[in-house]
Amino acid sequence: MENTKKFADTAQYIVISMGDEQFGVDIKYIDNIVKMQHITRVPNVASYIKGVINLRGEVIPVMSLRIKMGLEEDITTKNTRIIILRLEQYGMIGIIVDEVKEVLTLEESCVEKVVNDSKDDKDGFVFAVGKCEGGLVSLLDLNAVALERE
Amino acid sequence: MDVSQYLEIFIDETKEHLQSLNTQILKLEQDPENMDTINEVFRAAHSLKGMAGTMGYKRMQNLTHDMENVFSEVRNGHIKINANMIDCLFQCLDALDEYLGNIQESGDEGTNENEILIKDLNSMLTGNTGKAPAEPKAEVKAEAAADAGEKEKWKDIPLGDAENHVLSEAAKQGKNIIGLTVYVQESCILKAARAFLVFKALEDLGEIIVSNPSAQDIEDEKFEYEFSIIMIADCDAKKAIAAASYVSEIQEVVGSIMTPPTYEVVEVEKEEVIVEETVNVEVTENAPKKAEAKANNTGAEKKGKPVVNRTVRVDIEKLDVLMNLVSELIIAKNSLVSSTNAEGAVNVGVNEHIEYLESVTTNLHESVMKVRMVPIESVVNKFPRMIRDLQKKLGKKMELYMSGEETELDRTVVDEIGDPLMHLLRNSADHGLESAAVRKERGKPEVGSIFLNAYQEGNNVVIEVRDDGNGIDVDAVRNKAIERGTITAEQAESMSEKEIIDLLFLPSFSTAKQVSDVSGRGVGLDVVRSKIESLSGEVEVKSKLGVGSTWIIRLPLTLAIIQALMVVVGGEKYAISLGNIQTIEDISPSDIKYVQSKEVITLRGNVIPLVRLNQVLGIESTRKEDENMIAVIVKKGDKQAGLIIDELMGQQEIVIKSLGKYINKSKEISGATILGDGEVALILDTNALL
Repeated sequence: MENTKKFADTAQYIVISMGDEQFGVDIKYIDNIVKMQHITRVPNVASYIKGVINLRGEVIPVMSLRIKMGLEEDITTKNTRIIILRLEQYGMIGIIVDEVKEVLTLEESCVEKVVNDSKDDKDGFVFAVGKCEGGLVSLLDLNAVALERE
Repeated sequence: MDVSQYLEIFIDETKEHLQSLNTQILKLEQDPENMDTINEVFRAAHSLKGMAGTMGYKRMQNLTHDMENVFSEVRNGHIKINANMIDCLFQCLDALDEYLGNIQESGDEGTNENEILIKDLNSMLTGNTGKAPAEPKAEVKAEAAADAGEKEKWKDIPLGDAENHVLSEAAKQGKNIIGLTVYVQESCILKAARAFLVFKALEDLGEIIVSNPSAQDIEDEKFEYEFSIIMIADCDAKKAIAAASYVSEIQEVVGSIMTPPTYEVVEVEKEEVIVEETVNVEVTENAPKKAEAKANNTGAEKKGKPVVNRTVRVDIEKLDVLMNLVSELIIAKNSLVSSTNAEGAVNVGVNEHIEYLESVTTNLHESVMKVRMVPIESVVNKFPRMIRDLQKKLGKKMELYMSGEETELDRTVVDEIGDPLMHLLRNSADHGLESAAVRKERGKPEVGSIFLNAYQEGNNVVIEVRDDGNGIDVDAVRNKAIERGTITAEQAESMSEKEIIDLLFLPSFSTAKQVSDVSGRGVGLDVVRSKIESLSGEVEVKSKLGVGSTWIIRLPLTLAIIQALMVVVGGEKYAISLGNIQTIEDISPSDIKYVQSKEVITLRGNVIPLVRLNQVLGIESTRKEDENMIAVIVKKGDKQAGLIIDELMGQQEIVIKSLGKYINKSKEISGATILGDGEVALILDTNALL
C-alpha cells in the first residue's frame, strides 16, 4: 500500500477500539473526531451507511465500521466517536468507532505487512499490523474501508 | 506596468466585440445600405484592432486592420457590400475567434497568419484606395492647424529648477528637447495601457524628463484624454510624434522641438509647428475620420453600450463566496428562529427583531442571486449566425425568430445552456424542417421557421425551441427502436406516443437517415437531457407529425437556496421544493381507488396516482390505517402524483447542500439541508418519484 511507502521512519496513528480489537488509523487522513450525534438516515442505501451529519455546515456521510466488518450493530455509549476522514477519492466520510484511545507513533520496523486473505471480511480492511507496548494494533486500509460493497 | 493584468478584460471585451460584429454583419447582409450598422461594424473592428495591438497580438491586429480598411471604404461609399464579402467577413470573424481561443488557452494567439483572408480583404480594396485618404487629409489639415495652438498643452507644463537645468544641459550637448501632447481617443478603455505604450515607444528614442500628469498618475489612469511630455532625444520631433502615433487608439499627437527654457522661445518654433502638423496629419491619418464617424454615430453609440460606466466585472468565484456567506447567514437566522420558538414567546421585542432579520436576509439573498443573474442574450446571440451557416450547409431555407433574450438566469446555468440549445436548434434545422420542395408540396411557406422563446414561469425559466417542420415521426422512431433492439415489438405495441418519443433521449439513438456533421451522430439528445438534468432542469418535447415540434426546457431560477415545504414521514423530516408542489389535499382512506392495483385518487376530474412515501423511504408511518391522510400533489410537466406524508411542518427557506460523492445511490433524495437546530434534513427529488 502507498500508506507504508510514503513515510520515511515513523508514522502516527490514532488507536481506536472496536469490540476487543485495537485498530490504527493513519493520522494524516483524519480531519476531525466528533462525539456521537444525531445521524439523519438516508433511505435506500447500503446498510453500513448510517446516514448524514452536519459538521459545521457541511453534510457528511457516516458509516458504521462495525456493520461493514460484519460485527454486531453499534451500541452508543459515552465513548462512541465519529472519526471524520478526508479521503482523496471519496471526500469526507465519518466512521463510527467504539472508543478513541490514544495517538501512537510507530517506527517502520514495528510495522509488519499482512497478506490479505480476501475471504475474511474483517481482514480485508487491514494492511499491516503494528507492534507496540500495549500489544498489537491492526492498521486500517482506509480506501478499502470506504470502498463500496454490500 | 504589465499588460498581462489586462488579459481578462481583453478576452471579455474581444468576445463582446466579436459578438457585436457577428450580429451587425448579419444585419448588414439583410440591409447592406444601413449606415448605422456599417458604422457600428467599423467601430467594433477598430476597437478590436486597437485592443489586439495593445496586447501585442500582431496577427490579430493585422487581420482586424485589414477588415477595418474594408469597412472604412464601405463607409465612404467606395465599395458596395455583396454576398462574397459577407462570407469572407464571417470567415475573418471565425479566424479572430480562433485567435481568441488560442489566447484564452495559452496566452498566445497562435501562428496562423490567415494570409488568404488578408489577401481577400485586400483584393476588395484594390482600385478604391487611391483617392480616399487624400481628401479628408486636406480638410483635416486646416482644422488641425487651427486649434494646434491650444492643443499644445506641453507648453503649460510647469518646470522646476532641476528640470530646467537638465534641459539646458541637454541643449548644450546638442540634443533636441521635444515637447509632446498626446490625445487618447475618448472611446479608449485601457487609457493607462495606451499611455504606457507611448512612454515605452518614446523611451526608445530618448529620455523623458517630465510629464503632466506625473508618470505615476498616468499609470493609475488618473488623467483625462490627454497627457503631455517633455523629453530629450537625438532625433527630431517628427520621429517622436511618429513613434507615439503608432500606438493604436491614439487620436492625435502634437508636438515640436522646444528651446531650452532658459532662452526665450524663438521664432523658428512656429515654422516647426506647421511642419509638425503636416506630419501629424499623415501619421494619424485615421483620427479625424474617426472623430467624424463618432459625430455621426453618437446616437447609435449610446444604444450600443449604454451601461459601460454602471457595471463592474466581478470574478464569479467572489460571488460564490458571497453566496455561501449568505447561505450561512440564512442557516444562522433559521437557528435563531427555532431557538426562540422553543423557548416560547418570552420577549415580544426579540421576535420583532428576528422578523426584521428575516426580511433582511431574504432581501440580501435575492440581491446576491440577482447579481449572479445574466440575460441569456449572451448565449442566444450567436444562434442567428449559426442558422445562417446551417442554411447554406443544408441547402434549406429557414429563418430564426427569437424572443425573450432578456430573460435572466444564474450565470452558471447560462454558461452551460449554450450547447444543449445549439443542439436542439441544429436538430430542428436538420431533422425538423423539410426541404423547400417538400414544404411547397405540403402547402407550407417555403422558408421554414424556427422559434427560440424564453420566458419566466414561476420559479422556473422556460426556453422553447419550436419549428414548423415535419414533427417527430413516431412510427419511424418505433421501427428504429425495434430494429435496434432497444424495445421489443410487443413492448412497442403497449407504449404511448409520448413514451416512444422519450426513446429519442436514450443514448445512441438517432433517426436521421443521413449522417451529417450537423446532427445525426446519435450522441445528441441524451447529452442534451443529461446536461439539463445536471442543472436541475427538465426537457420535454411536444410534436405533431407534419406540423412541427416543440422542445421545452425548464430550468430553476436559483440553484443554491429554495423555498421548500417541510414534511414529516415516519418521524423523519424531509423537504419538498415548493416549485414542484401544486396543492396539499386531505384525503380519507375511502377516497382511494385502484387502477391496475395501484392506488389513485380523483381530484377535480384528474386521476392522480398516490405514492406512499413511507414505503418508498422504507420507514413505518406514524398514522393509523383508517386515519385521514395528507397528500402533497406534485407535478412534473403534465404528470402529477400525490405523495402521502404523515405531518406538515411548514414552509421554509432552505440551503441546498450536496450529499457528497459517497452517497449517490439514493435516487429519491436530491440533496440535504441543515435545519435551524443543526439537524440535517433530506430533500426529496419529486421528479424521481413520479
